[in-house]
Amino acid sequence: MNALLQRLGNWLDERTGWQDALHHVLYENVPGGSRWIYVTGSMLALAFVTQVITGIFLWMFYSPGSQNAWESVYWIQNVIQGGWFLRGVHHYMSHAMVVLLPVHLLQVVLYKAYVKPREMNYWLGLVLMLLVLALGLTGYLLPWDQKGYWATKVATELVSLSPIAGEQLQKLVVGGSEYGHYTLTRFFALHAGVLPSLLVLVLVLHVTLFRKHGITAKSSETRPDESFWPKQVFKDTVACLLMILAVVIVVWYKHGAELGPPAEPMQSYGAARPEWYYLFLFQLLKKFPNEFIGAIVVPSLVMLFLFLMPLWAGRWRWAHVINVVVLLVLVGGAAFLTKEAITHDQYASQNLKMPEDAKLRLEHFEREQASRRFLSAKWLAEKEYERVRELVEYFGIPSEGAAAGLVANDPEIQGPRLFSRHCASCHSWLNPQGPDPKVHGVLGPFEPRDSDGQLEQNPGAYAAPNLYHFGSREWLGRVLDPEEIAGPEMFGYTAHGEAEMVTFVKDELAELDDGQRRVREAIIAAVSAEAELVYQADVDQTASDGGILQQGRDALGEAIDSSACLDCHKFYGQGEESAPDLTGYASREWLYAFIANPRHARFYGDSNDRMPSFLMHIDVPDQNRLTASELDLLVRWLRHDDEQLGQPTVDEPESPSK
Amino acid sequence: MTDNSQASQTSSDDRRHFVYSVASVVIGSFLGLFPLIASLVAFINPLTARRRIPLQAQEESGTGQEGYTRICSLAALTTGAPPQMVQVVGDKLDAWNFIPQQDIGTVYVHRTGEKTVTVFNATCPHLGCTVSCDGQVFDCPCHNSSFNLDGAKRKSESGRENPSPRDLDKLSVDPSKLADGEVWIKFQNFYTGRVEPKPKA
Repeated sequence: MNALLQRLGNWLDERTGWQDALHHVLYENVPGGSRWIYVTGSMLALAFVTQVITGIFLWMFYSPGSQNAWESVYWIQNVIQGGWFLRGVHHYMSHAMVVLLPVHLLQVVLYKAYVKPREMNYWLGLVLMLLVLALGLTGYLLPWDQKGYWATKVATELVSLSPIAGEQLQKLVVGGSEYGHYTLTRFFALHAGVLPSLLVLVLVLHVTLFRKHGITAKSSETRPDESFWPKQVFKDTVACLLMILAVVIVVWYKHGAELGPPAEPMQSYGAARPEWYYLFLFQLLKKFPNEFIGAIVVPSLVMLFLFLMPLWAGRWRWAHVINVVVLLVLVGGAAFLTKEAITHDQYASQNLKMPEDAKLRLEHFEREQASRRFLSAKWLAEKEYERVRELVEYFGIPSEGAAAGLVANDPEIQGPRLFSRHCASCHSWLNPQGPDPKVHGVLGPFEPRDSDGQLEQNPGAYAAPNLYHFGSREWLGRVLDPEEIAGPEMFGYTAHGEAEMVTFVKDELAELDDGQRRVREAIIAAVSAEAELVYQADVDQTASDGGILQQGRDALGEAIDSSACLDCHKFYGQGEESAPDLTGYASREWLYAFIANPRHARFYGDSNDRMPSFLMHIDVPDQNRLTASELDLLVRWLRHDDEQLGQPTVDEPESPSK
Repeated sequence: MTDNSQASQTSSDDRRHFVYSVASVVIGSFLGLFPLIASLVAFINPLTARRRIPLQAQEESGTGQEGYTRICSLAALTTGAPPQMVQVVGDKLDAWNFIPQQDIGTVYVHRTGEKTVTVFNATCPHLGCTVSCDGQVFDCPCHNSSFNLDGAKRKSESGRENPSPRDLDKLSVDPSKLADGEVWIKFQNFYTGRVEPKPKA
């Protein structure tokens, strides 16, 4: 058997010369012996090979195009067996490459492997670095989710600033004036075709030149030379194994790469950020009043410096030291900017103390507000993605794509958007009992501050109630809570802040005995049951069975101390009409009619604060702020009628009252 | 043979060699470039392509001044209220897809008086994110650009960075339609990152 193999080997060798070639590869001399520091090049090469192979397999499932890209990646991520792992490895292996690149570069420079005669190879290495970064940038767009879409859009906007034919260049990159199918087909061709081919070409030259010049280290007495095989090979394989292990752990821990909700060109994303290794450039863009400097001049100068480093390194005495120092400063600067970008985005979650200095205090609040907007947008996007998953599970993905086919008609996704556009300049929608009530939801207006950054003492009517779970027992409980009703989350900053209702609650509900407290609870239960909220159906039923609802309804007309609810409110024809009608309070029909026209006598009438009528002109739909279907989506979301897909919702409302 | 004839033989060989070399290089370069040339014409299509509106849609195109689009009624806006975000509806072309009556842009409409509105493109002139408005100022979620309600680039109280090179892009409003209570605008996107607004073709 052995003899047969030997003969086969010889036969092949006569015709190919493979034995010499293999010997040449394996027995290259390593002056001074094998070292752990030499592993970075092999790690990068192995990472690239992993990218090629996993990339080709991802290719078998991926379809570029604005109605297919996200959908096919969604399928990889959630449906294809092992798809999340495949995509995760491809994603995090690219991170490993980006981490290793500067290490490899620093190693080369520290060991003086960039000076004569190895300048050429150093330059090829820099080209490889740029190619890897370009692969990262193009790959970020391909899933066509909100994050990738909006972050990459900034990058391609920058292309138009390039000094020569920038606008034409931008069109060629984007495939037209606007993002669309051709942006994806072009980015995909770059990512899977042009850039990897170039990378292979340059990598072959890089390795060939490396072989030609050999390792930079000199032989020494203390450390004898060794051949590449087996010790250095062993070290390389161990290092590569550790890298793969690290990537697998991250993939497992994160359950693959992140995917956001599908891209929507008309739906801006407030938390668009590039991949973490581009954050330093992102942060740099904030620093200059002229993007040309931040995006083009500074990075070009840095690259120019890197390219020119070897030319003066051998000429002047201190040039090498200066190169090393500048390089370390650059890496440190990038690390600092990255950290600053993350710190600014996470500012609101750090609970920093308010600074003493007025100017710093103003900056503190500006940063905090920007950060709250960021965190809220991120939270909403995560919710959207979870919702899209439910929609896909329930309806499947229609051929027009998830954005147009699922997202556009879903109350749970459109609701917060409509709210943010039409309501959030006064109202907020934040779960007061949630894990982070400052950012988990739709933000309302920020607290007004004076020019010293202090809270305004009398901010006046600038905000309206937090509408999270409007009409629920918790919400109504806050209305009938003397501590809450005039607070910032309720009517404190509206024109109703000192109105009769507030006085009533503060005066008459402040000190209740147990019996009165039960009456208050019964009233809350009874009015809340009017809403027929799906998520409260069980407690409503229990209260109805236990007679509590009836007790509450009866109590509406009875004075708790000196006045009763029906002294101002109406309830099934009983009572006065000077405050909103409690019949069917917060029900789908009630809420629709209320938002359509809060000035109607059924609601606030003349005592309406500044709330606009959103759908007043039944006959001239053009003149309304909201269309009927938009209002319907908004109402259904506020009530969470559709939170559970497939459950019977309440009946369609009758036509809204005029 | 004489020396002379030998020399002339060599020089004619050299000449022939030269011709062959030049010809090979020229033909070779062409062979190498051919696939690229064959591709380039199509590749630069984004620079030369025209908007191909289907015939039916051309026939049905709306009334109103050339290039102007209706975005909303004056009646839907409250004087002095925070600027209202409105989607601009138009025909969208995405490569081979024609999608009529689609959202093609986002603007902020600010009703400043009984018969006056200002309309801004919601795209941040810095680098193309969409600005948000909290009723006090316009803020960009990407790189902290910030603008007053009149669209002017804003210096924040703390002097925090504001990288925008110019004010928000104002869009022109059709005055005659406005007099009739309708807001029609000339919707345009502009190149970002420049001091002077330059419309995108």
